[in-house]
Amino acid sequence: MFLNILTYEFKLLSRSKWLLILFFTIALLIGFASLNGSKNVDKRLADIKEVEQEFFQKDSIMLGTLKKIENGETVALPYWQLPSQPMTVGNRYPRLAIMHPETLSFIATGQSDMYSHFISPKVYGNNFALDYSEMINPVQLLFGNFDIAFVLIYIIPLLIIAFTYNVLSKEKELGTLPLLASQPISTHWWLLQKMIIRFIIFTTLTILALILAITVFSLEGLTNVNGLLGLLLLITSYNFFWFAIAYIVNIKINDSSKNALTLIGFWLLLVLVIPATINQIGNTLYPTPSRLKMINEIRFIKKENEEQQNEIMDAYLRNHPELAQGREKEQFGFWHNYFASEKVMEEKTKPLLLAYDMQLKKQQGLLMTFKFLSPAIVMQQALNKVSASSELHYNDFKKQVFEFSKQWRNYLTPMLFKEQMFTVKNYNELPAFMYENRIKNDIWVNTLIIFMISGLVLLSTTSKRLGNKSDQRLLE
Amino acid sequence: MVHIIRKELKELTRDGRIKITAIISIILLVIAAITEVSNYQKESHQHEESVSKERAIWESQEAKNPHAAAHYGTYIFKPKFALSLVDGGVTNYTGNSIFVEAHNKNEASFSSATDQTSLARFGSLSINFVLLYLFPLISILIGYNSYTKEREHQTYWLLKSQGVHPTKLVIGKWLATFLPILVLTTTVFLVIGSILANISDLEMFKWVSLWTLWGLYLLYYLIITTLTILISMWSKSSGVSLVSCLLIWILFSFITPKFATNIANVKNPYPSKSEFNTRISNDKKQGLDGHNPWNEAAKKLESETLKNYGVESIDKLPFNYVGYRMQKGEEHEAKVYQKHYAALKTIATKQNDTYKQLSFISPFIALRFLSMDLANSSDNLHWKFSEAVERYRIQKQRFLNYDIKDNSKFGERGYKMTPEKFKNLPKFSFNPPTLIELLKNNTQNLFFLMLWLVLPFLGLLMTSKKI
Amino acid sequence: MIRVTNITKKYGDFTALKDLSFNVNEGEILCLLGANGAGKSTTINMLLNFIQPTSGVAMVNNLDVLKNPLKTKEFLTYIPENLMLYPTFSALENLDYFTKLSGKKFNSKKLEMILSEAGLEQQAHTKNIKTFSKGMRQKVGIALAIAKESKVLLLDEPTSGLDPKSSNEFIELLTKMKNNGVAVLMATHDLFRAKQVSTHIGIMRSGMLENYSESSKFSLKELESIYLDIMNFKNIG
Repeated sequence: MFLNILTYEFKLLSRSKWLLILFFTIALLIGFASLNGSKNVDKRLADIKEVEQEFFQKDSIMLGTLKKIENGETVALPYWQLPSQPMTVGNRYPRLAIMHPETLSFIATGQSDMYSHFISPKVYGNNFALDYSEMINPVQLLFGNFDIAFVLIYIIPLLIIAFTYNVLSKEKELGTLPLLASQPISTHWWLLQKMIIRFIIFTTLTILALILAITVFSLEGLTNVNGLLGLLLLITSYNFFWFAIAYIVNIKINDSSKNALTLIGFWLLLVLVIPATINQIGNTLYPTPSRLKMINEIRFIKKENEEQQNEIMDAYLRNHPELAQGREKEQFGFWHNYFASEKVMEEKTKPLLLAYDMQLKKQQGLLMTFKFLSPAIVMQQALNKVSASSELHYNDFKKQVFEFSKQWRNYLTPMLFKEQMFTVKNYNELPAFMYENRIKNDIWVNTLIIFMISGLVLLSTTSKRLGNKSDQRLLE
Repeated sequence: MVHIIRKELKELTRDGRIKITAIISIILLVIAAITEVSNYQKESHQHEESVSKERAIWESQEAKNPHAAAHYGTYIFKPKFALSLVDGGVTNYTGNSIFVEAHNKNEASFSSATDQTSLARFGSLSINFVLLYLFPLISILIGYNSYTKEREHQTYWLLKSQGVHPTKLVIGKWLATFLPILVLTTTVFLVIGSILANISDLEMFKWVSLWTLWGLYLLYYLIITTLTILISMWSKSSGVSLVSCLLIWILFSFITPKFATNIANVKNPYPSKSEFNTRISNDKKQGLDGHNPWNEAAKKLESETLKNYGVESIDKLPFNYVGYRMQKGEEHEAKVYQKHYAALKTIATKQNDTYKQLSFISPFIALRFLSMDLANSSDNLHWKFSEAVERYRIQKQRFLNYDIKDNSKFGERGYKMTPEKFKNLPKFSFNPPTLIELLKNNTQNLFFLMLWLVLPFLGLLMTSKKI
Repeated sequence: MIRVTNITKKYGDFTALKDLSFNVNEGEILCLLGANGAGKSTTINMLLNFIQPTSGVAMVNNLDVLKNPLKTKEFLTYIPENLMLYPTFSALENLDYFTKLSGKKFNSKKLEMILSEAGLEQQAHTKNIKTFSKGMRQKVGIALAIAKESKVLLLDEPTSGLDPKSSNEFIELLTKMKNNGVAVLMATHDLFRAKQVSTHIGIMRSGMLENYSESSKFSLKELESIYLDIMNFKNIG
């Protein structure tokens, strides 16, 4: 019987041009979104390339100057610009910390439009004040990007609604329902089979369109087999959820415009209202501490440090006797005092930063708890992880930069205190930043979550009321 | 017509779906209002606290070299505008503070969006969210079957046979669809106005701006109402009408704005921050470096100054040349920033123009830009604020550099500005554009909105006579 | 084949059917006559399990309709007042689809034979249903009954809206099916056709079977008189 329904469903859809409309609509949307996504990634790569070229150029100039200095040649640069001074290297020739895109980064813009993907932490300045934000028109951030994530999360469910809102009610409107209901098959079972067939057709079209788009716009994406497979399963699960909702609504309501209304109501609730409400509640319950407040407090601490400079230097040298080298504290200059103060600064700002991190964690925790209320949220989180564009990725990038900047300082600071010159040899030993994507891609878990939510929805509603022995309600 | 309106409204009150939707919308609005007002008050308070604390830090500086003070810098905070309670605009995505220091024009830093989870990209349940997305849906819900139900219940032919003038019928239905939204919106704005009048400094809050905003939103709802009734007239069934109306709503509110983002990006891409800073840095190097007396431009300035004052060496000038040179260096740098930011602003303006041009596909875009401008939460306002801060920064640097120039001697080591003098630095003040200025700058948006109302309305009248 | 025993259907205070009992055996045609709202369609809907009775039992082929809703449908074919089929499919495709849904499978040739047996012209077999008249659609319905080898045929106002020729053709088909042993229950207003084709006539009023007898026992005129008496109208002319 499934084959019979499948055959005639295909005939019905192709004759009503649905198959064609669906394919072209999905292909167009995904194609356009892929184009945008790949353009964004290309721009990111171009920016990285440009900044790398600049970096290598600067480094080669520095190397040239170092070689000249080591050869005893005169260099026409003021003292504070000489690369033989470790602090000059630390400040003027910082290393580049780059966050490269992943193979599937074009799928979801996520938070990538807000952040810069490269930064050069210097020896001067605290990490907290490092500005990772990228230059962008804020109106673009407000309206968002037309990326694949947008199509999958927002538009695909709407297409599914248009495709399924009247599967059963149309039979009623056409007048074929009485004849259908008088056949020896359960109407619910017949509808379920139709829905499954439509689900298979729709999801196949979506997947085909996506693979086609990846092939055309980002061939590299096909190399990430595991990621791609996960992505396709995730899309399948999300589509399945919406088809499950459509099935329930068709059974329970069975009136075209009421069905459409109810399904749109679900879409509004799950894709707009619930995420926006959780976000609003999260911001109200766990507002991120005011950065302004923290900046003011840091400035106060800096001021205090300036006043207690000598005591701070004493304490620093006590803790790092290897750096004292028998010098009197009066012989220490700006940089020496700066690093000594930085240590104190770090200790004093630790509680502030911890409080800050705590609030962020609480916001994230709220999100993790309540994301189950909406598959749209689960989908967004999953897609952002696949694309490595979630806030977790950027926070981790910041952490890695912070860890690296410590490395950077720890390499150069001893040279400062030991009055060592920076040489070509030191250049070759300089620590280099290597970004590592440390965020777990839990796409399989998210896929399972969506399937489970769908299952729960189906089970909770396929109760006695739904499995009504008579078809009276369907025919009314 | 009054009878038609009465009958439509009666049907509406008996419709369970409308009641449910209205109740849900009101509940959401209440949640939004409570959280928004709470956040608004918090942020307002934070702003006041930050401004006074920052000034206190500045004024409580001990005697210090003015240039050291210039490097130490100060923060300028963007004021919190009353109507941002209605429309937060881009404030989530722009920083609210700018660090003002010597030699560098800084961007506003630390936007709240960078400190939030990616859930923020779904938007927030704000008053604006309900006004922009949910209220138009209510219009659609009320009006989508205004004509199709008559056909489905076979009452249309009965109506026609009574000799009801088609124009009266359509206007009656149009008004009946619009009235509930009018009442809801007016109530919302009245409540917002009362809240703002109680918590805001009255100088910042103007009822006329609030009512203008009210008028704009009503204009948008009128557009939605007109289109809904028109679609209902054209559709074969209520189901088709509803799906079509919703498609239009989605096209207006979601698809076109995002589509416009990508088009704007392609047509007029922003430079990356790194690229932008490199250009500025390169241009700065070409000119005067206030710290570096050996640089070409510095030597040129020196010879010109000596010539103007008819002296042979800088120590013979009637002022401290170091301060003078630093200020000139500052002015050169400011010009470099001006040039590049002007170019950036041109890109931003062109990008926004792309959005506005696409208002012919979506009146939502025109409304959004207008609403943000009126609420002083737009990109335009942010530019104006940044420019005002930059002017203040130059003024501040002049204040400090000229103190060195006028009150210290050339070669004098250890000159410090007295603590009292720091208090003489004028405070930063910023006035947002007036309502008239805002409306003048938005004539294109207003034009598009009017076009979106007038043309479909004419279509409505014409179609009513044909069916 | 059809056995209805003390069926009552209540909707709150309103009684749609009250203690209805009748049988329709193989090779019999029972025509239920009555005004709008008499309960004729409700009776048919009970046998289709479209409505559940408040009390009483409806049996088709000795199977309780309530307990075996799907099994009983294997034995019956229902032709509603306005039989609608899928407009984008042809008569052949519609027949094929519904036949397969009922669990039977035939090749195109056999289906065409069945359509012809049901009186549908050859050239109409592959035409879209969109172009079909009510009479032609009803023939497809009959073809379905033939294909399913239905033992029971339920008809709701089959001749309403048909021209005399189509009506005659339909009656001929019914007679043929009766002669093949099918039990037919037909709800109708058409006294003439009822008298013409039925073996038994039942007159319903306000959910009750007011009169049940063999149709051979009276003439058309007598039937009309009985009918109008039951409906409380004076005999006109």
